Amino acid sequence: MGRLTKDNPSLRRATQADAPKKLFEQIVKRIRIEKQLASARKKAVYFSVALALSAIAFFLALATLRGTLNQSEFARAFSLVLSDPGAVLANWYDFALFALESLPVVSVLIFFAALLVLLESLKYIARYIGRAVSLEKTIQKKQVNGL
Amino acid sequence: MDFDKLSQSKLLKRTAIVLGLLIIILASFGVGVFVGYNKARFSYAWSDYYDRNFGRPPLNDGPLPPGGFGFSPNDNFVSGHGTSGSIISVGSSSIAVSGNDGIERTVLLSTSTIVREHRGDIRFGDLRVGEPVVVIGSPNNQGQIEARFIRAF
Repeated sequence: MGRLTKDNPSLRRATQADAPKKLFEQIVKRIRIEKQLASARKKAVYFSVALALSAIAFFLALATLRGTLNQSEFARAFSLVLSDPGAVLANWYDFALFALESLPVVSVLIFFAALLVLLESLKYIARYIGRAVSLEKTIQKKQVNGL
Repeated sequence: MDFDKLSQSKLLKRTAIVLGLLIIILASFGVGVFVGYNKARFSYAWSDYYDRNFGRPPLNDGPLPPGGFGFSPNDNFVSGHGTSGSIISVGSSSIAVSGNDGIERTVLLSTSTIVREHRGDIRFGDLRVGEPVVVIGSPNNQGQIEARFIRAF
């Protein structure tokens, strides 16, 4: 058996062996998927924090709204809609102004803002978790197929 | 002119959304100004006539005690189109109601005022001190509410 020099015909054959044609493409694709997965995981973590903070803000806003409504005249005014709808309809103008005048607008606005932020955080966290899971499945599938 | 293209145009949709938002904002602003004006007018009449209506100065410094941003129901003008609270006195043609917002209001009754308790109408004389009520009415220039409907609970 001769020495393995660069002139050795078997070594020459080995170095000349071509890599699979799509290997480079697959490597780049895999790197891209891994990058996307890392980004989706990072965003999911950010939005988890945002979700936790907005949940706290939401419950605080809810407690404030409940307290304000209990103290204000709005809840009692609104109860007339259920108990005396006929009288409310007959005096709709005064009733509408009474309801608007007694509505704790700022507390209601803060509550809706907190609710909006909570729902948006929930939407984005669902989106990025979904994306991360789907990317992980893609990677697993490729590993099973030996790619 | 291609009406199909025009109806599907993004520019048209965006313009419609912007116009819709503008209408909502302006309408909210208009309602806010109207409600605020009515409350302010009633509040000043309520303040001016408090001594005459209740025979003493207000318990606090008028309808604007310290507070801010609507977290407390007391930090605003007095509403004049109704009240809810407990009856603190019953007169010959009026009652005084201490509202849930801590503000006392004089409620005037007329022959057309409907007073209801449970499922039936009752006479004005049947109202008692301490009874919780909700009043719908309109404000007058003396800082009183002219009641149209009273619900006793």
